[in-house]
Amino acid sequence: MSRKLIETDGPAWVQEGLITEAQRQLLLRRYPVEEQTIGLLPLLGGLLLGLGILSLVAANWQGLPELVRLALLVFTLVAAHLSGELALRRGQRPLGIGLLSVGLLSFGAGIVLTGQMYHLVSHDARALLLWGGAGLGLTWLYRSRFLYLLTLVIVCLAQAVSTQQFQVYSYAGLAMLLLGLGVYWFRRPDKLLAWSFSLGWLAHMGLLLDHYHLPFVWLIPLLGLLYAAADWLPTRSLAAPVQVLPLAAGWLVAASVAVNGEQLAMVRELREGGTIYPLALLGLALLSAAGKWRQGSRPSLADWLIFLPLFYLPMNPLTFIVQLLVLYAFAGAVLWRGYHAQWRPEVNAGTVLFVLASALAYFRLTWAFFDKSLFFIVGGVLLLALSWWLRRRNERVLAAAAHEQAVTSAPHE
Amino acid sequence: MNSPAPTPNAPATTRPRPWLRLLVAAQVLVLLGIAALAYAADHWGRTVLLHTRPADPRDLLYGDYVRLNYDISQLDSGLWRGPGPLPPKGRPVWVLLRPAQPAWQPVGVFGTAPSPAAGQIALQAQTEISWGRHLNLRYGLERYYLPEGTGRRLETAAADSSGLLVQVQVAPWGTVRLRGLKLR
Repeated sequence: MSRKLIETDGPAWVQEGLITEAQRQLLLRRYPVEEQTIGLLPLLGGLLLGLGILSLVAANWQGLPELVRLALLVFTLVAAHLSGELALRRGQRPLGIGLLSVGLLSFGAGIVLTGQMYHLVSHDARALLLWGGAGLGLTWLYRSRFLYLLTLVIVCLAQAVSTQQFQVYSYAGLAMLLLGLGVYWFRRPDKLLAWSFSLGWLAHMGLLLDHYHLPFVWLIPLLGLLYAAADWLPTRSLAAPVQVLPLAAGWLVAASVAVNGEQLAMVRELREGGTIYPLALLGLALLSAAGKWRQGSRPSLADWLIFLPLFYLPMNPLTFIVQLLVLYAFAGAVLWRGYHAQWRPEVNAGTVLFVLASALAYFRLTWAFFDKSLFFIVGGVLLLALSWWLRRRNERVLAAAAHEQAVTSAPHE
Repeated sequence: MNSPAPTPNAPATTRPRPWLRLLVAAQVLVLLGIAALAYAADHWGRTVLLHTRPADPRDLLYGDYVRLNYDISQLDSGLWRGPGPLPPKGRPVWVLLRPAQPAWQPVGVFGTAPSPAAGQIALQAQTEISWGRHLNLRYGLERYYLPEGTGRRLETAAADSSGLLVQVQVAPWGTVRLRGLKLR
């Protein structure tokens, strides 16, 4: 609760008899005014001073002797880390983490500038990986989400440079992502970390497929790995954020099969690849199922519907209808789970998926036969009606559930 | 690569200071190590002189570095020794060089690191383009960050039809460093 809320709404609470005036005063005393403005001044001064020194050094950089330049780089690195540690010891966490980030960035800059200063040639991304390693060390040491994000960006950058500039997929980079940042997320599950780690994983897997010229649909099992791993977290609410991306990718593939499966290059490529793909998916599904069993979230096993590789079936109208039904079933499962858990984000996601599946079905079934203006008018009306109906239903179900909860919990009060 | 984690929920005042010291020391060592590699290459490495082609003076100077285009940047595909057909874009190759006057000359281009004969040296490069009789390579030596005040002088010299001689240090352990430019 913030002081502001007590200040603005407090008098009304007293009037309504929720709290007494004495209690309001007590609450106010509990949240004292923070002296933010005073704390900002030295920070601002330090920033200006730092920028001034930086520009002075940058302007004369090339003119300085090599060893002086090296000493300056080392000094910046050490000073930023030590002052960060000092600030943390004094309880100024944002300032401390900020200074440590400056230290980490100055290490990266130091690597680049030293290499440049001595005109050294590099044929791999080793130096960038060392930079990522320093980031990992700081992240684990200080448990900071900001340092985590910074390190994730560095590790992804190192992988991108390695594959794009040096034509080598760096397994050391992948190990850093997995064992350093992945394990960190797994041990401290958090929404922001989950999202950013899954994006980092997507970037690494995308670069992997690009590097080995593999069909991009292999992203499904590779992201599925992340999905299955998340099922081994203690609860489903921790797993959900990291599972959104794999599900979205699975949905996109399923939707593109439903719309124009007969023309997809990936269908041909995968069939040529043999049985590895479905076997990999099956293995992951089993791993995920075991995790869900342990987690107590068996209903979410329906998620695997979306990963079904229906493109192994002959590409004919029957298959497209089956694929559409699978999309509906998936949307239905998400909606049902949302109602069941009375969790609004899931209900909303299910609604959107249901409307999208209907749009795809409509497109697939009528595009060839309808006059185009008629196609858009009828389609628009259908979708609007459907979304209105679903939203009304959602509101009713959620409201009824809330009412029921209020009634059942009343006697306990 | 991850540092062992301290015990969870450790209060802020008992931060694992020794680990930070170790981490900072490792970073400092990396920076000093990079510099040491350069000095070691000067000391134990061999000096290779490479000839540059005249460059368009308007394109030459990009801020604080000059772009260098070597004689051995564009080679005849007849020098390709394999294995396999001409390397595609991005593939690493090794260019075997022999000493000559005024600059070193290419002997052959290899897909795997060759074992140089006495006096010869193999320089790693990356394929830029290969088509027909052309094999364009990039050595990572194409930018020279200028010491203060030498820009103009180098610019006119490099634009001169006789080109420049570039001094490259090649260490036995593979470190390659552009040491300087020789005006002719």
